[in-house]
Amino acid sequence: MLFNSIEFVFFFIIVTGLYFLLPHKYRWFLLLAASCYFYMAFVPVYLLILAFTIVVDYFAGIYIENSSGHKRKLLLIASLVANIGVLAVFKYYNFINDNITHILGNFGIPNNIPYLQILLPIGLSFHTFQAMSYTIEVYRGNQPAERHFGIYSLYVMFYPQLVAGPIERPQNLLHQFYTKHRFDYNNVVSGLRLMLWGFVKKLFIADRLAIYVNAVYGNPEEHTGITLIVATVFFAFQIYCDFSGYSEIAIGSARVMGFDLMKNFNRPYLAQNISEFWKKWHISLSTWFKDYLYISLGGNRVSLPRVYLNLFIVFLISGLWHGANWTYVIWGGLNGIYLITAMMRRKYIDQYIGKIIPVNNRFIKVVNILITFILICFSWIFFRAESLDDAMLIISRVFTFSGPLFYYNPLMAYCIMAIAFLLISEILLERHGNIIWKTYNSNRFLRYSSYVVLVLIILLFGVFDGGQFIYFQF
Amino acid sequence: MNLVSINSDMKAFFKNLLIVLFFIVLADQVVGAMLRYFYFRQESGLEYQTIYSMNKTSEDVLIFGSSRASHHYIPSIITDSTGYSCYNTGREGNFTLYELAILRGVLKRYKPKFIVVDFTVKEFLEFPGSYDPLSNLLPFYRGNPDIRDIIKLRGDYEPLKLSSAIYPFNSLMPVILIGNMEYNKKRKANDNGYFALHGKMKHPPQELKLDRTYPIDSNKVNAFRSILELCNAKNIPVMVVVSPYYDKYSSQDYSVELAKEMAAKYDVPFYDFLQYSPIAGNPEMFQDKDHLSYSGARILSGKIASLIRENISSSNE
Repeated sequence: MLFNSIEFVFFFIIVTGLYFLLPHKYRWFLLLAASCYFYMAFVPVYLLILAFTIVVDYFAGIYIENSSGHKRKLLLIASLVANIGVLAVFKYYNFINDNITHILGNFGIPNNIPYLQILLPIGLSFHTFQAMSYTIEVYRGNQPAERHFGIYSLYVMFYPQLVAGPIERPQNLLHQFYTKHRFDYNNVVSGLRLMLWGFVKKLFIADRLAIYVNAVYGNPEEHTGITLIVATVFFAFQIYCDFSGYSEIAIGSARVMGFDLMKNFNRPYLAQNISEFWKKWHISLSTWFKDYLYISLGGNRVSLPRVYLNLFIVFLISGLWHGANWTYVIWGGLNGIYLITAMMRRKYIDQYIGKIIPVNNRFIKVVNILITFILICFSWIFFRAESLDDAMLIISRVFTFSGPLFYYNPLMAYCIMAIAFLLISEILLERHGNIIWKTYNSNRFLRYSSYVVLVLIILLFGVFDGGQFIYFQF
Repeated sequence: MNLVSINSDMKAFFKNLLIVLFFIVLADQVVGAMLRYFYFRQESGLEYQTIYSMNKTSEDVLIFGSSRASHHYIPSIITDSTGYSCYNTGREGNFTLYELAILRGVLKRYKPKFIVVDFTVKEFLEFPGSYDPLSNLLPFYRGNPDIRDIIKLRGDYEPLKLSSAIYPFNSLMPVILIGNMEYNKKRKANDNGYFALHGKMKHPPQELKLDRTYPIDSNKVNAFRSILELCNAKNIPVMVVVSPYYDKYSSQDYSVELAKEMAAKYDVPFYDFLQYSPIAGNPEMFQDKDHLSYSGARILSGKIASLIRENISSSNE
């Protein structure tokens, strides 16, 4: 079931209504049943895969807590292998097989390993990572093992964040299922407001930009450098609004029921450097990698060259997490190189530049934001291109400005209007957020007008035939 | 079961929700009414073509089809040759279902003397999103109950969405604005629905093999059958034409085969000009592999005009 569907609107109203009508002790069951229904609306049989990881991690959590020493570690490894094994089979098996075929082909040896004819279960990488964070936290002693099987299942399956996050930690989410949430006016209104903003981002901005981006990236060989640049910039805003829009609908729909999910985006395109960008983009995944992989590799406690190597490994794996394709691996690696270069610059160069140009100079800030945005846009080429060949073709053309710009009205006008709307609202909130929110919250007319205007924007300019969210495929 | 009691927060929320919903509905109806007024006031542009086709045509000969129809049949040539007035209702991205809706709109008002249906390769192919272009018909949902069954194919929730007054005009605001501007009326970009293309092909035609079978959309097949049935019932002579393609095809298309069988059943002449020699494969005659240039359209329209004359005279005998 897609968030941007009428079915979801009915589903949300019914589930939320029943949630507040039911006594607290039955609510976990309602949410679990609703989450199963929500997930089964995609491909019902894949619920079995989810059930497998839930059962494995539920018992693993209890046995880890009750064990000590070497056995405790073995149990954790067994649980992680089971989770990563599911990912490997469904997400990476055909990719690995493809590469084996390619390598053997170079030596003229045929590859007889069969390919799997399966679809990737929706949101597999997200709920697998959320499940893994539970067993790791139990192992580290930061989280007691959950004894209630239903509540644990709900932790993995909670419908608002089941298919595309935010990837929650057990310390933040599990205890909330035991808290008795009463109907709270402020939670309900701010949750609905966040959902409305998420729908605007998805329907008005992301899906509109997608029309242009898909037309260009679907046939890159037929487009000029300037068109490919425009399409790449549009894609940067498309993926941001698609994913952050999804996250806001998820966080908002949970907040209406009183649940507090972690923030996933914080105006990333206003970041002044790559390090800051990754603190503002897909925060739940970035912190997951930091907490469970980067720190496990030694974090900042090792030598500087090793820190750089660890960062590079983390970004490569992060790329692979997104998709079983070399384009994603290169995207991850490129971002790793950006980050390492930024760290080196900070350590070896900035101290001298800082003496010449004041860091707080507004012009320098704008230049830094633009440079960061251009670097990120360049890496998005790999993320969006359908193959490595396409990515290389696009890069070779991006540097040639000859030829006309592909555009057709009024699509181009809509795209520019959508991006301008987003940028103006984000810049205003970044610079004057406190004053804006204070005025907004104290002025009922302003609040009501904004709701009406946002609904009208969706009705007038939203794309209603748009597809699913980009991150569902991961 | 101990149902939760209604607390003061709930009361306040529902009270405020009603107020907000009231203003949303009010704004939707006011803006929607304005858009409706200006939409039907247009006198030029693509949207106007649908308005004219649905509500205003009075021509003797009507051409139905997709973008191929709108670029392939020149009404002035047909009129000069036959003496019958002619209008081309073809519209980009729209196929059989759109044609059936337009035909129903036309037959409510008058009976044309002759109808030409342009049929494309893979016309009946089932594919996701193929009903999306039916959004062109949304503004007509309210005033044309007889096309609602076609619009409802877009999705189960379409009637619910259409309770909004703005939704039928979604994404149309700039088009409506331009369609109402004086300067646009002077542009006169089309000749009774025909849009001329002036390019030519830069590469030689390819040899292609058409699919013998593929998933067929029964709604599209039924719509095509309904067009033939409606014309038969109203005693309107009709002919189906597969206009030329640039590439060379070494096999028959599945949809074309099915359409040919149906046309034979209703005794409707079917002209397969897919490989029509004066045009097909000639780079000067095509703007792209699917669409004729003005030169190609002139030749085809001349041929179609003579076929219309023949068919009208034989139906009169």
